[in-house]
Amino acid sequence: MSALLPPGVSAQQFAQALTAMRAVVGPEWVFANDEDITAYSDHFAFEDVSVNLASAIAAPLGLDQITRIIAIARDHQIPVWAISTGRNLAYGGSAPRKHGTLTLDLKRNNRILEVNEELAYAVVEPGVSFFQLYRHLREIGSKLWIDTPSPGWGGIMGNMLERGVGYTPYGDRFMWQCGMQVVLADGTVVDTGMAAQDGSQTGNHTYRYGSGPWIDGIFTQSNFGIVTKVGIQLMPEPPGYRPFLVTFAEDEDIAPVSDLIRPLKMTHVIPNAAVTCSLNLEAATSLDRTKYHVDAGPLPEAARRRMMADLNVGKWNFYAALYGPEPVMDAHWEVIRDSFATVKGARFFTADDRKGDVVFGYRTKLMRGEPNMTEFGILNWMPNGAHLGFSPVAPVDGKTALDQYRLAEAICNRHGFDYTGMFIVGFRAMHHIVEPIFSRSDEDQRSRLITMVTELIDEAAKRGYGEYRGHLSFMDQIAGTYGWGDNALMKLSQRIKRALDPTGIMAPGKSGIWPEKASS
Amino acid sequence: MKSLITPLALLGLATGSLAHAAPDGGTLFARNCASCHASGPGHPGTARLIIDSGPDVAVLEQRSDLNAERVTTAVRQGFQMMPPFRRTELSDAEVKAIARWLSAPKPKR
Repeated sequence: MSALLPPGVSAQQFAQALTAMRAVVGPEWVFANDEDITAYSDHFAFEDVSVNLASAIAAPLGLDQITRIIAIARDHQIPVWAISTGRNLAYGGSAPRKHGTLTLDLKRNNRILEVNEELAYAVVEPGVSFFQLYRHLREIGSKLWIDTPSPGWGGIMGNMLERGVGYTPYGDRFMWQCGMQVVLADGTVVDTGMAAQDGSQTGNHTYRYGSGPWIDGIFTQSNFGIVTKVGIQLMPEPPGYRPFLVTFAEDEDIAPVSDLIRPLKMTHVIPNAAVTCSLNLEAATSLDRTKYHVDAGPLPEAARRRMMADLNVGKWNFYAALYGPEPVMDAHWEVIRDSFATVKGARFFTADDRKGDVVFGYRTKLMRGEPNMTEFGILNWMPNGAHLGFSPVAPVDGKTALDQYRLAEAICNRHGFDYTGMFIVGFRAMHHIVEPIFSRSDEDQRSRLITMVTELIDEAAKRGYGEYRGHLSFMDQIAGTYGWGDNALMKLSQRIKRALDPTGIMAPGKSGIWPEKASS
Repeated sequence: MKSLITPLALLGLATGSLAHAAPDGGTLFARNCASCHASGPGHPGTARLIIDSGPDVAVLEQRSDLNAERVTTAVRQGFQMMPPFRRTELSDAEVKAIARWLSAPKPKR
């Protein structure tokens, strides 16, 4: 058994608690040996993994077991960190924020509770992955599409609660959340929205607000409760689908491209969460870096030009798709071509032009909600590769996009890393996902990465840019950048935290929200 | 010298919840591993093995030199960029089925 204890809990108390938990879930579903605990660490950790481990893991099945485990944790003052599938890689994986927290693994809760073909939604438990729901829909002959992140092995609910994004017209995934069930620290079970009506059977997953305050949002990126099921609305298969790529030759083109995207997105001429990808993101998926640059430090310009030529891509590469009847897609394509053709050097590609292209192939799948793992291949950029996410938000505005890109590129390069990134376009905002790739076995790189991301967050904040999501190690720092009005927002979160979880057992430190008695 | 485990580098996976059934190793592999380890481009595990060890040993299901112990270790402990698969994702019986299937003798190609 691991010698690690939850903070402030004696060995005797902890042993008693684990005994009680085993009685609830069965002894085979409480893990406390070193090998199992290591399996719940952050596989992409850049800090010493041994200082951020779970003390043990409990894996309850069903609402009754979940609430009973929470009760035991509450009685013994053991903090718990819930995970759904534990694939939050690049943001901390399945590791807890606070060393010694007990992990509550909800993966076993993997039922697809409902698929409503007519009203186009599904209801899922925490352990349901994107692959699983996709496969299920195909197996039952459904004409509904899901929206998926680029690696499809993660959990729908967990990703939605982190406010992750995808690439179909339903790419702002949490926008399509409708109804959830939450367990609070005192054991209360809450069904939100229309489901709060006694005996409600209809409308639970078609109208999200119910009556009174809409509270679902406070259970995202938070530690106010544990979500045990969620409704997700799904996209009906459109009558037509045409993915396309537009490449742009120069780094500065991110400015006019972003400005051109804005009206096309706002008017739904481009319906999906389209993405403008940097050259390095394209290259890392399919090229061996050592064939272009063997020295330490970022790729020189000459090597980048060679990669562009070899891959037949640009410095920026815009992937989007048209959805709908053929005449509508024809008309929209004309508008899109006319818009982007104003950028010197813009080149247009359809599926027929990119047959056999690995990157175009997986982007084609993503934009129709077909999960795959191809983008995970960016980690082949170097041996034993890993990455993390630094993810500031930008309005769909060329000047801001160029400024963020220049800032991130300069800081990445100064610390010896390539800029690898993309702008995923919503309607008025873009998620600028910067994904520095590092070697897990290179201690120097890992150390530089910490300094670099610290600087990225600080320098972004000085310019008024904030992250939409952050790695465990930077949650406090990111929360600190949202400190307007004498930290009014965080103080509000803390008041909610203390009201809902006065003893602070739920995910201490999540998003920088700490219970009164604990800190990082 | 190459690590003995290198050829197994990325016994990747890709979700799937199969806790209630006991399908054969080939089905489990298809559901949990193939999205990274199938043959052809676009599979990160296969691509890693090509870089590290060459194309002849890159496609796990075509290999004849794997044994159950090495497969199990890679699945449970992870390797390089591939994270471990926990017991809530794949049961011991399921890992055993995958390991048995991958290490079974195969017709000469």
